[in-house]
Amino acid sequence: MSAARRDLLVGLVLVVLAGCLPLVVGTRYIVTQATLFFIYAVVVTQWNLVLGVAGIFSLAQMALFAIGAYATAMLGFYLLVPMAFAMPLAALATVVASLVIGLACLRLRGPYVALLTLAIAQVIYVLIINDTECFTTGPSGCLPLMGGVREPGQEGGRAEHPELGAEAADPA
Amino acid sequence: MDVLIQIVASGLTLGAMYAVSTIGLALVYGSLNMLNMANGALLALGGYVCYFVATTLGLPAPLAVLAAMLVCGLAGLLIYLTTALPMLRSGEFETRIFIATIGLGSVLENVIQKVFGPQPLPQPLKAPGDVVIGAVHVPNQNLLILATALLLMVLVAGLLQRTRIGRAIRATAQNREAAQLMGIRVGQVYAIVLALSGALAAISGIMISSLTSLSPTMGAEPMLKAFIICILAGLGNVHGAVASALLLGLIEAGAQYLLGVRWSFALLLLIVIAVLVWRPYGLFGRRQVVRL
Repeated sequence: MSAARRDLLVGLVLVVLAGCLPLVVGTRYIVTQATLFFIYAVVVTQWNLVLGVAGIFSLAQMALFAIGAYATAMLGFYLLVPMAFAMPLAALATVVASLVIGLACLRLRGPYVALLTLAIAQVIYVLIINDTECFTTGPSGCLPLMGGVREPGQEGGRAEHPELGAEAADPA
Repeated sequence: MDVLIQIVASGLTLGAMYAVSTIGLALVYGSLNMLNMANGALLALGGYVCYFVATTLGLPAPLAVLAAMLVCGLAGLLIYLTTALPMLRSGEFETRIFIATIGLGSVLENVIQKVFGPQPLPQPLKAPGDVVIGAVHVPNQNLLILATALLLMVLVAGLLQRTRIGRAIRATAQNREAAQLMGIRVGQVYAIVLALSGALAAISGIMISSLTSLSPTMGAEPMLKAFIICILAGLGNVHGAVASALLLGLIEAGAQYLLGVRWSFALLLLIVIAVLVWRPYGLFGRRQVVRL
């Protein structure tokens, strides 16, 4: 048996085992923890690709994680894109973002790459957590990641989807 | 006009605070090629030691500052002996020490949190009163910070230019092997540089916490700003670091007034990203960086 086929087989067995997990354990806690484990396994894999294989000391990888998550949520919330489409679209958007970051790093070496990517990650973090108006998605138009409330027009989908605005405005 | 005076006054204070810890980072990078990510925790440690000596032990303020400098200097020395020294000979020292110091800083922050608790504490060192320029009240606290920072910069510059150990530091930064061949004990220089940067971090931490408050993670943002300043100046460039610190302090104060506080840090980060894309070796850095 070749190495590739062996890896594939082992992978298949593990996937089946993971799929059986909810049937075997009774508590949600274990299932949730296992899900988290797999999410971080994906994160580790991509970081291994960047630092381990390519040798780029990037600290912006968790920012890409955030971009993907926010893009999925925003596509669903503002444009009412179904989850199944929103996720690949968000992945595409994240690829574009990481391409831009990669281009910015092209001429840098060593510690400058680490610091530039750290700065990018911090920009995204600061823009997200400073967006306090969006903690409570009130009736006013609110664009997470775009600096909060923009008064006129309510760009971003609310105007196109009045039912969404009405829903959010209604406390019941 | 009054607004301008206000912006310049707070900008210079901010810049001076950043400059003090930036000098330490620039010295360490200049001589060891080491990005000390534990610097933020050292800022917090300095602030807390000062708080402990001044409030809990009730000793006078100058003693508290000295104690903080001593403890943080020793902490810097310990970082050298326990972490940097064993890694120095290994390949990829820059990457390894970067990750190792992140871990060290995290441990130190958590120890501080365990000892003093997570709640913000007031820094007791305060200079009351203010000076009136036009219609602007500039607090004495800010003037004291500015004066202390300028004094420290002059002292560090004097140390680097005039003393024997300063010349050894500069020689090591320029060329490690050549300095070694000239009989400079490079290990000793590294130890002194890390202890010095620890002491500078303590003062910077005391200054920052006297304007805000003490918390275990208070050092994270100032440290990032200090790194931004180092990048702007070109890593390891001490004179450029001071100029960049004051410049960024002024930009920050201006942005806080014109755009609002929440945009200021994002703007600083965007500036540094733009500078790095435009000039990969920093504003004052040269391609073949001649350090210090």
